[in-house]
Amino acid sequence: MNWSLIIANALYAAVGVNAIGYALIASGINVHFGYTGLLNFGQAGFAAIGAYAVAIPVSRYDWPFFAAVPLIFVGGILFALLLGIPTLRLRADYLAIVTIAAAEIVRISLNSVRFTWLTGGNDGLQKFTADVESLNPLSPHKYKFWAQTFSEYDLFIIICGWILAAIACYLVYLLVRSPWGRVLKSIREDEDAARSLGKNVFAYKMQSLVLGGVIGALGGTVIAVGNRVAQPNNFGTALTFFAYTILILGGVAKVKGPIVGAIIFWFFISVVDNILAEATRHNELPKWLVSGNNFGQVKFILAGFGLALLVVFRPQGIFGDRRQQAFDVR
Amino acid sequence: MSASGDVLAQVAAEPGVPKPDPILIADGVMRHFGGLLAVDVDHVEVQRGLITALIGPNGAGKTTFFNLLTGFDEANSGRWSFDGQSLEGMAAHRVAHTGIVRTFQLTKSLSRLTVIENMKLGATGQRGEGLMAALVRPLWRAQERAIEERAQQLLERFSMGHMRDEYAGSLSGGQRKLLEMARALMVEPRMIMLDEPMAGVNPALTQSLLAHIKELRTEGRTVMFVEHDMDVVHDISDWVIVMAEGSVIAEGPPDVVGANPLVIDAYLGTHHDLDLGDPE
Amino acid sequence: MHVAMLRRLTKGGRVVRKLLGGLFVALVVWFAATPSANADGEEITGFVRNEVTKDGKAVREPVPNVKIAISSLDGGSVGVATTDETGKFSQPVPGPGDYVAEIDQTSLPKDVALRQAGQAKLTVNIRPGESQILNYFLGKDTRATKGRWGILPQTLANGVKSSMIIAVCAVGLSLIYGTTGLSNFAHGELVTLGAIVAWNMNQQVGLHVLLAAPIGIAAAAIAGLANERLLWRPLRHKGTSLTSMMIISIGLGIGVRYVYLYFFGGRAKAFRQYAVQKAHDFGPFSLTSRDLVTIGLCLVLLVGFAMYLLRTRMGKAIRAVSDNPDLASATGIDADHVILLVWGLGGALAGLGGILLGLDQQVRWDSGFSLLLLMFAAITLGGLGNPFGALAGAFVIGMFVELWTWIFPSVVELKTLGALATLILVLLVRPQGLLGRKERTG
Repeated sequence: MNWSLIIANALYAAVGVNAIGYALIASGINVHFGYTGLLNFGQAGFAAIGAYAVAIPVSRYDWPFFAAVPLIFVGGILFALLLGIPTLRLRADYLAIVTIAAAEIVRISLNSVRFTWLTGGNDGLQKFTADVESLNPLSPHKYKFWAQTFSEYDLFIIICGWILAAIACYLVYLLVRSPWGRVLKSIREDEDAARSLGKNVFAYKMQSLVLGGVIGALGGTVIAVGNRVAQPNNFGTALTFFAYTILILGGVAKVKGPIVGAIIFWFFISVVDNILAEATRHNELPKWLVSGNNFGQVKFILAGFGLALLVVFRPQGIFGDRRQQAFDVR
Repeated sequence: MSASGDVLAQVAAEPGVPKPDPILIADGVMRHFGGLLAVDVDHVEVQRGLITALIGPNGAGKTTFFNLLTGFDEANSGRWSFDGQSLEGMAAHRVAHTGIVRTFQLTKSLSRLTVIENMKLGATGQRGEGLMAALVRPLWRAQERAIEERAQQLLERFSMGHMRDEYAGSLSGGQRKLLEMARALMVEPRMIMLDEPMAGVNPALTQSLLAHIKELRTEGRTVMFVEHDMDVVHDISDWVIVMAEGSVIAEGPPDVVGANPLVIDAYLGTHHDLDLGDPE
Repeated sequence: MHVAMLRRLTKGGRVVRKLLGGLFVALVVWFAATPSANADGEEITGFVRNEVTKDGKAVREPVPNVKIAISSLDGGSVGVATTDETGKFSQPVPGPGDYVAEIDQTSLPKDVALRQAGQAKLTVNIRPGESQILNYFLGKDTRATKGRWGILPQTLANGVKSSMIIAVCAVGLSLIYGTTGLSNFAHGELVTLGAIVAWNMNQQVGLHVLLAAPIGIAAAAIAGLANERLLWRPLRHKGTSLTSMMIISIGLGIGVRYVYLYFFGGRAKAFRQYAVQKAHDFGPFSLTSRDLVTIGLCLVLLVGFAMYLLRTRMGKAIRAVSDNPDLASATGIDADHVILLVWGLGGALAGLGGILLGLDQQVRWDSGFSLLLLMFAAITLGGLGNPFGALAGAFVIGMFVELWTWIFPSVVELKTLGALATLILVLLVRPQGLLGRKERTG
């Protein structure tokens, strides 16, 4: 088994475009769930909107890429309002169910043959990254890091992506340490108490939904731009729950939690994927267990059980202190 | 009975009686839950600057009435106003802005915030509570410092200054009640409504809580509180309103109400073993 | 490390080990016999034919120039195959795995449509060295000829069938919510489990469906009991919050679902018996014997279950715990026992629902999950935790879902969209449910 390749791949995955996108998406959930206590299970919908907000105008209508960027914000804000106005007054579990359904509606609509002329249907959209590529100051070259090679575009996107993630996290950091953040946390703890002290709980929840949603939409944009394709099935419900896994892994209600979580999550997923791929290639696993490439599903299995086990055993995250965990286990 | 209750000395002890200077007036307030009529208050007035107790047996609708007055529940009908301003249909947070703050029967201390953060949350008109302004620290730094100072002073007054950096979740039941009251004062309310302030408080803290409530009156604030314990009611209240089965059945100074056969009946109807005047 | 915490961790670890161990053994047992070949040249191939009547005889004509798009499960396009003069198409795929074959309905000739609308988009599992054959049959677009109003009775009949299946699956979900407050996002996996186990017994072991079904139901019931005994009861006693439990159920659901995909594959698979049946003509609508048995069986079971809840001691205990767990235990009812029973019964009903769904639409790894949001819609509409409400809710939801396809007949996936939109509407308009009392929700 080629361990240096496996580890190199995993390190690349840990800082790669998916890790960046998921870190942003989980940061958005951190604002919703970690700081405000909103159970938003529809974050995949925000991410999909972020991806298609640039992909559709650029790919279908030849807009310049940066003219489409404001649409990420507009789309995120509109979806948050659409979702929030009717549902933020509902009970927590109702909000969860409505948001999951809304995100599925977004994905299915993007996938629909009826809208293929606009969204490209199941194949999605491509060729919307030319403007980004032309901005790349790095010389066209295959960059090599240990056993891993990547293109100048990959490197450029990774650098820009982490800068974006850092800016987003810094904004969240400033906000949650402000009186505004204090109100969010009070809503998470007990929204009636916040109300009795004169805080407009609905307005704050809405602001939280918008802020976290826009951050999630940016995460979707990063994934689409980095992979040079926007596809509806990248934005299924699994995305939302992987982001929850990442958030809990790194620590709920910690600004750096999503980044730490995303790096660990993608490193781990890549190691598992690569080990299984290598083992299958060398026929080291019994036939009945692995046939063809169904090991691709193993990462979903691990991520799912991982989420459950984390909440049971380490709700405070892997580095967290149990006394400080911000989400309610009791 | 305290001397400040003298302004009501001439007021008749009967349900719905007008007061010389009412701050809160409620008219025809009704609330149904399915077929049950939980609150049916015909007319009631609360005198400014005094301590009014709201008592009644379990299920009399006291807490529901509180919820209706403070916007935490929607009445089926009725009108009520605070200091001349109608509160009917007003959202809870806006009610707080008019100058009424309430506390809850089950304390709502914000467990995973520190005591001082709990206090600072109570301050109104904070510039840093706007999403955009929150990003620019210089805009609210001075105000935050002033708020923190005031919060610290209030904590000292409630003898909780040394706990400022502890998580509210780690406080005892009585300390949480104190914190909740202190936090309510951060809003600088003209009227404060306490829902069972003594419930779950150990006897050692009870006296200090009572003293704090009396202090609120000294400061010129109006206090209305829900209570079961008749001893407490005797000790600190200027006026008592009795509810049973959703309606106001009696009003008057504590000793007059305590002797009212209607009140005794109402209590005996549900608590056969309750000796009025004795702690439960 | 603190001693108590250590003890808790090891105890919890044992629980999880047991759970995972049991699951693993069960899966190994079913799939050990599954053969797998190894060679190269995987492809998806097949014919598109049109059924027409010529000189009084039914003949199948090849249909050229129909486009079939093949993509990988994560959405990457593999290629678009076009049928030739003989109606044949083939598309090589890069390797074994799951693919999605989607027929481009706009490339079909005028006035014809797929005989089975569900074929428009299929998930295909390719094993190493194997190719998959997909045959599409077209026919006159009956929807067009019969007219909108003409097909309404059929739509309603289908609605009755859908709602019965939803109701059987959702009863357990509702009772679990009622007795424990848990929104069990892994309930769909119990549904799928019943179907997959029954399918294996039927197709791999060779038992008749009527024998395989009880085994599937038993498996789902045991899984339900294991769920409660090994996972939820310990968590409840630890005082885990409902939000945490909900997230745990989501993680569990995802994990189990992909275990199904791993072993069962992504393709929809039919049972050996009752897969193809001629429909009985009832005038304005027609139903197969399978449909009739499904509806009848569900009705009998649901009525029986309602009687059980109303009449028997245990049924009353379930309702008491549902109403107020604290009060119920104060009156001497063993809440844990009742909840265990609810999980067992709920699991069995979910398993049965899964099998019926599999008979109706074939078995898929995510059959149950695709029904989950509908189940939530049904029990919410019925007033959360109220089992009778759940039945009423399921009826409304089932009807609504079918009516969506009647209102928007041309796009298959609108069925799902309609269901999701219905769910959202329900929560917005009547969050307290059909039978529920209005309460302040925030």
